[in-house]
Amino acid sequence: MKTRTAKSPKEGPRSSRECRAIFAILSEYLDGTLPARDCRELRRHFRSCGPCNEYLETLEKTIRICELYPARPAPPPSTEVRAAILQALERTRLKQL
Amino acid sequence: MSAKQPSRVEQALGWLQSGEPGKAERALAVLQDAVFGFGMKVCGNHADAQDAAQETLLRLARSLTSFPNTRALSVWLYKVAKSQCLMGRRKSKFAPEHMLSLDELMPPHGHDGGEEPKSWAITPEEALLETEFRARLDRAIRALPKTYRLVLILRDMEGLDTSEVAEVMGISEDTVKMRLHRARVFLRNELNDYLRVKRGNPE
Repeated sequence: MKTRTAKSPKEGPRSSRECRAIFAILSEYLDGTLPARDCRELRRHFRSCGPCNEYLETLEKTIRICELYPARPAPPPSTEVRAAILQALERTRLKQL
Repeated sequence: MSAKQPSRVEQALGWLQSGEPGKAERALAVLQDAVFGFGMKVCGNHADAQDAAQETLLRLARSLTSFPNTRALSVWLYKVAKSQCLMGRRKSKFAPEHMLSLDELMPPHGHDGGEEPKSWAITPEEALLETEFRARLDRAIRALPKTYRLVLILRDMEGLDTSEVAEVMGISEDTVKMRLHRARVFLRNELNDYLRVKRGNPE
């Protein structure tokens, strides 16, 4: 994949640097682990930078897709596993008496 | 940071640790689902996921009372399941190990999503109902290098928090955050490529 070099007339080098710095912390922003001051700066940037704002939205959707990713149906546990777990439970119960 | 609600795995482990026979079957079903489901995401095939679930739950039976709380036991369970998956028979399913570079993952400014926002008009719920999308997502997850893939699965799919993922993986929390971000971005870019072709305006 290419590194970004293209700039529209509106995008000066400062904008590029800002976008790159923000790109590196998008997940922390979405996870709510950035300090409030940084969040305010990011929100200000998103308001004036369409591509970053759209990237943020699509990254958020990607995370949501992962969270909703459905589990494959599991086969029932084997009789060996079932017996071992039930024995362990019985040992635990006896210890507590 | 506020305390996390116990996960379904922690809840099921709590039922077993409490020694209540009435909840044993339910706990077993939850744990089998969870460990097998995790194995499917990591191994990508039924046989290895089943083997991993079997061995992990047998080891759980031997270690049920060895941990002070369900959180510690849950972290241990994922650690065992992860190791079992990595020992699976079909190791070649994993993408080759390499570092994902943020510079390479960053799209050219003003391109990509910026030009075709309607590619992503679909909701996550709708997307996951589409067989083709699911297949593309599975391929993208499998294309992630193992260390990134495991962090993504544990954090975003299994719902472990950063400190738990760090414990399971044996890495620092900063490394978890770094790998997680790169894995998410990698996945997002792969899905973007698919959605742009599928839904974007063909030129």
